[in-house]
Amino acid sequence: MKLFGPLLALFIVFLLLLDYARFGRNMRRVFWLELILFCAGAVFVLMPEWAQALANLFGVGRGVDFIVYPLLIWLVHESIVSRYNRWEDGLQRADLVRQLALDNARRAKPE
Amino acid sequence: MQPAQRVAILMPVYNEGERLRTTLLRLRELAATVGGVHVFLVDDGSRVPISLDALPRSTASFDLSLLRHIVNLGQGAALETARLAALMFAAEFDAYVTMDSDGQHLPEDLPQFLAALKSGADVVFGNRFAGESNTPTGRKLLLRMARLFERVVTGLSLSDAHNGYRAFNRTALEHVRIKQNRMAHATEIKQRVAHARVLKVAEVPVSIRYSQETLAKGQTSLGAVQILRDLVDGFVFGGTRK
Repeated sequence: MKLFGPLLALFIVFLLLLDYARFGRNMRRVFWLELILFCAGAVFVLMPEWAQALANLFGVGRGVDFIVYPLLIWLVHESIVSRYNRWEDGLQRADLVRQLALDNARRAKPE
Repeated sequence: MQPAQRVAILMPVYNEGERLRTTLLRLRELAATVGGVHVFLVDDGSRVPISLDALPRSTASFDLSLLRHIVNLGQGAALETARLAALMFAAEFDAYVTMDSDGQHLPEDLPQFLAALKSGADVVFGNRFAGESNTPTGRKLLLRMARLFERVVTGLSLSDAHNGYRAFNRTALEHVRIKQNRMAHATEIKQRVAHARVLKVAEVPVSIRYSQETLAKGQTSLGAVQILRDLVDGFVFGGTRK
């Protein structure tokens, strides 16, 4: 844990800097949301007894199961929904672009 | 009145210049011998839009419609646009042929497709392994694997996977609505043909001419991974449904 803690903190700082550069000034709320979520996650990793106490409260055997499994379900769900949205957006965008192309079709001039 | 034309060519194009013009000129030369050709050319958001002035003019046996996607969507989407344009066109055609614009597909192979359709086939796929193609070894291996994969996925046992040179009669073309915007459309077309169950399939030998330029612009092995991802999305989210 002695080495893992600083490494995790470094990783979080790296991701935050990356996203800060990506989102820019207009997306500060995303930055703060990420900061809060990452720090909350880090607390449970660095203080496993806290996760264990919470798990005991809900009748789950291990703290890590209590934290990781719901998180995994949520991530898989988000990933599928996001892929579905991208697929639908792609179809709708193609329909729109296609309709414009069909409406503006031009014929070659005669020789 | 428009002259009667037997063959509709569905041709997507992206960032092609001289090779496109050469392909169209060769088609125009050949047009009279196959009873007339109408090219439905779809510019899939090329960086420099294709101008009608740069393309061959129409003749008694050759005509061309130019459609433009304002953004790049992918070859599948461009083919679907060409398919709809051809189906909505005032006249019906005896054959609807999908062909690349970069000169890899030889217009001289066209009569073989038409003969196969005339013999009773509804869909005709080109087979580059039976013709005199200069297919690179790496691509041959990839295509052999793709062939096995497609046999499992579509149930169609074809000699050549992902060959863009194909011909359809009108009934068959109405069956192959393309929802895959990118390169997975080749598998999707075969899925639709197989699902229709009533379409008679044939293969004809074609000679595909690869050059350094077309190979550089064409599919890579990583492209195969993207095709797999697109197929999974299509399967999960309804890409194979009407």
